[in-house]
Amino acid sequence: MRRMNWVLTGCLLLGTAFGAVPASQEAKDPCLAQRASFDKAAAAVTAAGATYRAVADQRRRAYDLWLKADDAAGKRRETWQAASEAAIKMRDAYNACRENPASKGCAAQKKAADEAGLKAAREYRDAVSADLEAFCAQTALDKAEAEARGAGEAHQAALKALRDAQAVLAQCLRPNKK
Amino acid sequence: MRRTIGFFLGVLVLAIASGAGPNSPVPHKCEKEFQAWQQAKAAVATAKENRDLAGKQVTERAIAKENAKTYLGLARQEMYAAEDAYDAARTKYADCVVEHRNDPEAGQDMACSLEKSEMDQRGVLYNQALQAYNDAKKQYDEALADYGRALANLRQAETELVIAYIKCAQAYDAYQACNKHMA
Repeated sequence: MRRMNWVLTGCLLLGTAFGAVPASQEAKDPCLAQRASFDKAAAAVTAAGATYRAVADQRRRAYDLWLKADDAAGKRRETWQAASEAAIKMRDAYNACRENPASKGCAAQKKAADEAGLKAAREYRDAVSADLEAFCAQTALDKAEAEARGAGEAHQAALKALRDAQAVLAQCLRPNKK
Repeated sequence: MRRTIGFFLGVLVLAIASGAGPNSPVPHKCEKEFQAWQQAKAAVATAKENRDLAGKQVTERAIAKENAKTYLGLARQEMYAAEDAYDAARTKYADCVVEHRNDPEAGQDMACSLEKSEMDQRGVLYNQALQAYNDAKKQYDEALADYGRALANLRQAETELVIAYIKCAQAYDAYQACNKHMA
């Protein structure tokens, strides 16, 4: 009895190995290959949709970062301009003092002018740095937008493939196809 | 005789009017240094005017850039929303197609005609929003480039002003040194 079981199991394994079982399934479902293509296309649509949504999230984050960086750069630029104008006024005051024969000394004005000049230089450096950050954020946003657009297009292409697969499957499923 | 006196009086009046009188603040021997200082002062005034103009242009360009940014922000939000809506409609249509996978008519968009119609409509709206966004982005990029050029001009004008200040100070020192030397 046990030997008989082994023989049957062996036959089953051999039959499976030589495609006997799929062949019998195909006999039951004549549209098996079309269904498989359809399922594959449907999985691709789901994956492409998920990719698009993930990339769209990244795009929103990149947008928020750019918005913050650009606002910060604008504020820095305003601060620099104000500091620069203040430095010019201080320099003018020092020059006026220096060129006035009646003045007793201009050390205080010189100190104020030098300090204002240094402050303006620092503000300029910070403004350039902020501009650079805004530029980097802008580049990252451009990249994220291009990726999102690409992912959206890939989703559309996957959907078209699904429609094609569906058409093939429907053709197979129609009773009067033969 | 009267004519000669009249002539000399005329010459004297002209000389005083041209600043060459006895109480002139500029010693004649430092005239060259004085003129150099005056020219340097005029150069400072010109550089300041240029700097002010460049500063105003930066402010104007910054406002234009901010306006373009606001417009771009609105167009961008609409484009994002339209793209998300299009994605949702695509997903809904795909779900419908999968749901009707065993229906032979589904291949002709019979079973999912509503979803298909919604998806196509969303696609049209997305393309419109994308076009509006592209236009706004182009305007923003131009405004940004203008702003960048204005900033570079301002920086250049400031550098020229600093140089003019330095030259003016040097010219003044030279004039003062001349005055001391003459005294």
